[in-house]
Amino acid sequence: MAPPDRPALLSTYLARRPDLIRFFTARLKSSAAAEDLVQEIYLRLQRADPGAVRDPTAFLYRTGWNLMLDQLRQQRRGAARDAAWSGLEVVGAGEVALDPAPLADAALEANDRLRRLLIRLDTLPAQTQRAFRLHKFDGLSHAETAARLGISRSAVEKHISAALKQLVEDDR
Amino acid sequence: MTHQDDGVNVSELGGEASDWFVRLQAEDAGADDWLAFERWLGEDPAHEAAFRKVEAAWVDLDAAPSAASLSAHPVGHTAQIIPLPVRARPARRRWRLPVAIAASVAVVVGAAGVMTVVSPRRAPAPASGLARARDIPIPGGGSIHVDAGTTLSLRRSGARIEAAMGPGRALFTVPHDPRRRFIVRAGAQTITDIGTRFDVQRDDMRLRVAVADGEVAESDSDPDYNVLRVSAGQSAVSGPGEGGARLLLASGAPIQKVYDRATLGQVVGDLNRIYARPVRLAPGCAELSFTGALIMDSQDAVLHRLAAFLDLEVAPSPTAVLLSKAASTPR
Repeated sequence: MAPPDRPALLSTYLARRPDLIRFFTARLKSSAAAEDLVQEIYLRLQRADPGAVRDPTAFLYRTGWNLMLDQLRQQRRGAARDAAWSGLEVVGAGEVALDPAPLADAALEANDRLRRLLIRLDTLPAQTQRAFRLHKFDGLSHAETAARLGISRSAVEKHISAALKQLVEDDR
Repeated sequence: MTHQDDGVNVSELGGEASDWFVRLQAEDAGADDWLAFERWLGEDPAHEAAFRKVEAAWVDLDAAPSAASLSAHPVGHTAQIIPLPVRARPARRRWRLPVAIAASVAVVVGAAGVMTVVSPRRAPAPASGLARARDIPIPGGGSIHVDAGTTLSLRRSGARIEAAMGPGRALFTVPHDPRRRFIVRAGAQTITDIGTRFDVQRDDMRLRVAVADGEVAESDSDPDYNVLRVSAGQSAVSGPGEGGARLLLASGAPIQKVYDRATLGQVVGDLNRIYARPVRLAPGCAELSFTGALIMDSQDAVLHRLAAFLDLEVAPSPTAVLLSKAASTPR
């Protein structure tokens, strides 16, 4: 299948718009938030490289999902942000803190969540950890991770899924 | 957003939710996968809750401090660390850098967008860029939206924050703050913000800076030389070297681009950023030299002006336009 051009991508968007709104309304529990998000997908679409898109419909969902994850990240880390940067001051010895914001409770909470996740990550089997870290922290795709580890892509996906399952388990 | 942690149920669903998460992240996830996922979500509210937990863990891990991830990494992990280019000593400095350049810290957005703190001594290696677009905060306020495939590293040294950008694109939102100085380096070019929102696009040849609000100053590697100020609503595109094209485009009214001994390849590169329908060049055309101003109104009009000037033939098709040298015609 030839890669779609921009008009093709836009017409897919228009055709799929009701589906996208339905999907993201269910996920965001708000039709207004979904409308905004689907509008944002449109804006992203105009900057996207159509040649890089293989499946326009999947691309639309994926773009929306990424936007949603960005929002979630901000919600969960909004307060943690200053804390994270403040932490850097320790490493940058001899330098002046620009924004020596006191750690907010929410930031402490976020750090705590993160610490627990990292501790749990350390307890996973070595190969599972390797696959997960390459994918999550080094940003390798499943295929790239597979090549790096010399295992199949489906094995990589099993490792990553197993890691995620362990990470969310007992997390209460 | 409610979290239902009803024990066993959620725990069992964790595996299913994780499988879905991985499946949707796969490079070849297709429309069918999304529709199947939607059905799964709709089957039971607990599915949504379980999936949300996986998402939450995923984004929480983005804040992983490098120390934690680096220490546990196998050798070879540093291959993903992006070295900052060694700065040539500027002829003049307007501010004094604090003691420790050696102690300064590079905050690197690794390929996964994880912020990684590395010491500048760490072995450099080629970087592969972000796998996905993401927003990263600027210390002291503001953020950078970094497109997928773009490498960007942030370094702070005293009151100076420097972003080094590889090929790609990033949108910077930088509130004005007199206590700090924010600088973007992209190849030989330096962009200094004066409190603003601006977009930087870099490819092998060119750098394009578009300013939405405020004003930025763009300069060659020596900040005291050849400074170009770009204000809201304007864009500046600069090419390689001093002899290359330096163009200033004021948007709003039809954009006019001025080319000084630019190659046709460069001009077409610009056209392809402005217009949706791609322009391709027949062999031997990319090196043609063009000096002049082009008003970017309609693509057809621009192409015909260009064609008349360089004696080219324009062959439009539904998906692209081909430019080739006109067959020598008797007059």
